[in-house]
Amino acid sequence: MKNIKSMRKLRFHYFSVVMLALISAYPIYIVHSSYPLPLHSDEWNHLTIAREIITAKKFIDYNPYLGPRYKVRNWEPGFSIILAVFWQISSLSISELSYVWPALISIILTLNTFVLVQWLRNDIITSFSAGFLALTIKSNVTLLGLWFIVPVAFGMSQLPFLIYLFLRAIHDHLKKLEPFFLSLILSFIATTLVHPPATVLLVPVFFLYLLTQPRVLWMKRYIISLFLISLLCLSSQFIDITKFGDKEEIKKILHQFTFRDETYYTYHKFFSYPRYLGYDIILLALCGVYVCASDNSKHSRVLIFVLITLLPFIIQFYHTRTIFLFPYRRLFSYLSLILVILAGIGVGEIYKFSFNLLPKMFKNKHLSAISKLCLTFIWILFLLWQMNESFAYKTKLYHLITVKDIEAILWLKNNTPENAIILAQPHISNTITPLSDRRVIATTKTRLQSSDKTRKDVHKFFTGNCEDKKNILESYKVGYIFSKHKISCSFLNLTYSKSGNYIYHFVR
Amino acid sequence: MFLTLVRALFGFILVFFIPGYALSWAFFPDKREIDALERFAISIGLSIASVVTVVYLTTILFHLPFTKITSLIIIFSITILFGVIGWIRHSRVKAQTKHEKSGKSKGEKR
Repeated sequence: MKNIKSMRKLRFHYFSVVMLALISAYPIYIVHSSYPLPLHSDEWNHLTIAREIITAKKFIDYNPYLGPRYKVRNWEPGFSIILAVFWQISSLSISELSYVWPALISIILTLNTFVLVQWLRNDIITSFSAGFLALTIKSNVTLLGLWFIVPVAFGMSQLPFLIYLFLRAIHDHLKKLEPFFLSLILSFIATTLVHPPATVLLVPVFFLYLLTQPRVLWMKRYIISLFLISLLCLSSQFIDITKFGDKEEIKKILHQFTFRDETYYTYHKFFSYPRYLGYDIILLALCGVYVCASDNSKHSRVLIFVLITLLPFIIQFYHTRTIFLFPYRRLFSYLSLILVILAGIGVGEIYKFSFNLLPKMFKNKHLSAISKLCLTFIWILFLLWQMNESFAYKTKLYHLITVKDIEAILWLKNNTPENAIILAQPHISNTITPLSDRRVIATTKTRLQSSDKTRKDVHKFFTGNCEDKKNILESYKVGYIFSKHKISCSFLNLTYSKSGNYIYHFVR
Repeated sequence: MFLTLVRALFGFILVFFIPGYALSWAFFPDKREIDALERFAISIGLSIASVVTVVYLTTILFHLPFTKITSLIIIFSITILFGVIGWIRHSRVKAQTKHEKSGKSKGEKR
């Protein structure tokens, strides 16, 4: 009898995960149903790096839009590598990748959340709620999120997994080889290479948690030392060892450990959790905090430790407008995930509590069954409503190009020499290199940006007279011009004209 | 659409699952240590970890060319190496469990 029950539980377990996996593709489908291309310029940037790695057959240290002469440091090499490997092996097109990749990352996030909460609470409803709510974190152009091919989404998907491995490693007293710790170290290193803030913010959390477990700290001192050594080795990724001892380099390192200004624009810095996640989620997260705090096994308290450790950094940012250790926006996103997981735990526990309470309230069997059904219906409605809420910023996404522009950009790929340099508006240039493998002059002020001067020159080209145009074309050795309007200068030869796109060849 | 799905699935299995699955058996040879779902999640996590670190090290430290062939060689090398380790460890655990079980049943008979 017990076996049949556990088999049923196991089946429900798998059914829940399969359901979650299927649901996770839904938001991505909704977002891309009207636009089958990458939505954010950062996505185009990452795709361009991955594309260049595949074409150059090596890891690159330059801006692929401009060419090998323009050196730029890649702080997220792991993301470029995993994206390039997946792209190379799957041979998907950019438009296919723009929805397949986010869907895969969403599946990984929901699975990892499910596994973490299942281990913490040992309850399928709670795990399902947390896994589902993790998918409903809003994505937007500032904070990014699951809709985009960006490292922060990848980091989010790994966060519950790293917490799970850490807890298992700490509370697993049986193994000599410490498999959970080894898995944790390996995953920690890889996630740091993919998105450093995802792991940097976990270090103080783990540290605080270990301080509350001095016995474990002593028992696991050797493996924890190995973990710290691997952290030190990993830091070499972010410090230029060849310049070790150099005053400027030391200044740079010290700068990382001081309160400093965020390098990004200031006009969209402030977000508030109640407004971003919703007051209902915050209330449920508080319920989750209560549940975790009163957990007998004490494992769930790690989620509260994340709040205790990271919330002060957010408050500090609101007061001083300076950041410390990690960028504010990334911190905000990762903490949103933890709040949503706590809200999932809150929902699950409220559901369970009410479910057990109903038979006591209604002595009539039928009435009790109907009330249970109503409760389940309310639970489903709440989850669906949250999913609907997650599309709040869907209409505020921008499109760099339209689907019609692809044909013109592909024309460049098929009809221009491989070393041809293309001049186009910066936002269109962001898409030209990954789609046509041609270098450009100027890109938008995002991750892989060109200088302000080049952007000004491109602007001058499209607004200036023919003489200005010629000077700019000659100084940048431009071969072709991609324009959204007609240009009539004697040295420009119209080679392509369709759907409001004009391509000119510069005749020297 | 169907072809996209097949390609995506193929890529997912090769990059995000197989190497980690082999690693998971090398790390956790006993079926009782983690359940199937945990193994699935750990397989994905370890796949990402192993592919990222190994490809990063081979391309940056050893300057191996980044091609489809090298990526596949790396993925299959990880899979075969840790698959064999996992298989050996799993067989040992299995034999030990069998031995313990038979010992118990003998004791019960006595």
